[in-house]
Amino acid sequence: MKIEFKNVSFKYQSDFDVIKDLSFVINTGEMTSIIGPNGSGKSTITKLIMGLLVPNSGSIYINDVLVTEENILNIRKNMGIIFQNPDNQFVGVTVKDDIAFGLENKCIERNEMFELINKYSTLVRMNDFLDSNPENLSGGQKQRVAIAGVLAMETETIIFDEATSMLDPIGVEEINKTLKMLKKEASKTIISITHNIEEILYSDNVLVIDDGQIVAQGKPIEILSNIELLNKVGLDTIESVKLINMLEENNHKEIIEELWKLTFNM
Amino acid sequence: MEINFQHVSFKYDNKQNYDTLNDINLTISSKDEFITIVGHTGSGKSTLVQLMNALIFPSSGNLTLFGQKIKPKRNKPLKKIRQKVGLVFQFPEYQLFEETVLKDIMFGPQNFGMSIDEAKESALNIIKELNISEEILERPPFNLSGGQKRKVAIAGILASNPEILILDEPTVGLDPRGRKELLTLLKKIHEETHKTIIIITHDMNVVANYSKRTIVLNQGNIVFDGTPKDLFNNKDCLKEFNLDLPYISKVAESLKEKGMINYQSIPLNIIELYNYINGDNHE
Repeated sequence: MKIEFKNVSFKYQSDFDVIKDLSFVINTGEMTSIIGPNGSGKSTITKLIMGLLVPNSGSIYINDVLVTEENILNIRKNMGIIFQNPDNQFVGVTVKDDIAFGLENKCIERNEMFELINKYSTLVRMNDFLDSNPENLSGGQKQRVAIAGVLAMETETIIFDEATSMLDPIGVEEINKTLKMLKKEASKTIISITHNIEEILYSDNVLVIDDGQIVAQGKPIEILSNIELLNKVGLDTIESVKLINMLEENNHKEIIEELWKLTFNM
Repeated sequence: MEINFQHVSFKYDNKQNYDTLNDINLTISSKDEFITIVGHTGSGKSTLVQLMNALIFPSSGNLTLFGQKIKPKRNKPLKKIRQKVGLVFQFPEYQLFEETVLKDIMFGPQNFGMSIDEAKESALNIIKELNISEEILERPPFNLSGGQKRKVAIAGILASNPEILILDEPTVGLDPRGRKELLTLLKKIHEETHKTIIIITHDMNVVANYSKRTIVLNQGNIVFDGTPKDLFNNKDCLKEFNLDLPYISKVAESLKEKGMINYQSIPLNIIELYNYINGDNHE
């Protein structure tokens, strides 16, 4: 799904724009990270993409078609979202019921439904928990069930809206692994909204947002190397990159090379 | 010692046949300690700090808080202890409820018996200390950003002037700047007032670079109580209890495995690793 913002501005009831003349393109099948500090407007962008908010000026195009009140419901059917708080997105008594919920709304036939539930719970490695009560799962497991529920809807696009920010390190790693796997196997358009710099490593493209505007855009390595910019907006690069920056290039060529390798594999 | 656990066990209700905390022995002073408590979800961390605040009572064993014995069932009034041991829960911003920021910060001290004037004075002092902008004092707390709300919630506890400050995962959900600000603030409070600070955290960087003592819980047992340095150099312990190293220490381990650097004691921050690489480390 191609998503394009052209000069989009948005304000809530207050006087100032939360999103200021924002333009960007997310290409089909790409994974894009949107990073920025708390309050930078990241979640507002999600809501604009989902059509839950309407721009005050500018326009949004999905697959080159202008988004309007008439077509938004159809467009939204092709988007799934994983929210920040794993406890706020469960409706089912069992994991199976929960994954089935969206499918039931789509009036999918029973057999096909079971197939989809099995397929996607296996993909996120939660197939052993199908009869468990979601309440008894860890945060990372809950988020994986939520991901299976969204995947089962077979939407073109999945949005992760700070999906790891309330998880412990084990949960964060589980979700990051799942993201990596999705990127490789599911050929989806993935948008990941986060302030954790580690999560941008395997994106195709990174947008840095501050105060409702794009302040930088590029490949992960370009963004990670721009320490000055990241600090300016209240973010931080990965510690290994900070170390690379501190070392004398000529004296430590081998170590610097190894540090870059480590940064992208760890 | 102001907090003293002797063979303390705790279980949530009598139907359960396992203890949530098991034979805990622990002493903590109200001066000059900076402690991190680590352990996996369900290891008993939150239960342990709730005992310290007398929110729950031990099932067996002797727990003494500021000289007062805490019995399994009926206890003397506990308000004094709860004022002395300030406990900041996870996501404390969910508990903001007053009409204005100032009123919210004043609620705690008033609840512990300060007059309105005293509470206001105490709140204004803390606000200055925490760098909370005076502009927001008369605003409702609900419109603030996540980081600001968290600060206001912590200010409410600090305004009651506790002798020990306990925080349950205070940095979760904050962006890097908010995280650093909060940790720097806690360090400053600790250094200036010598109050003991206890933080429950999953962030090994906080353990390594802020705390002087760290306690590891595993399935309701204390399995390590010592310095962060000793913990991170104890490979068996880390492996057995499935604990991570700080990110930069993992980087150091990889470089060491490749034979690019060598060290006895594992580096816990960038400066230490930088010094090893440049051969400036005098151990």
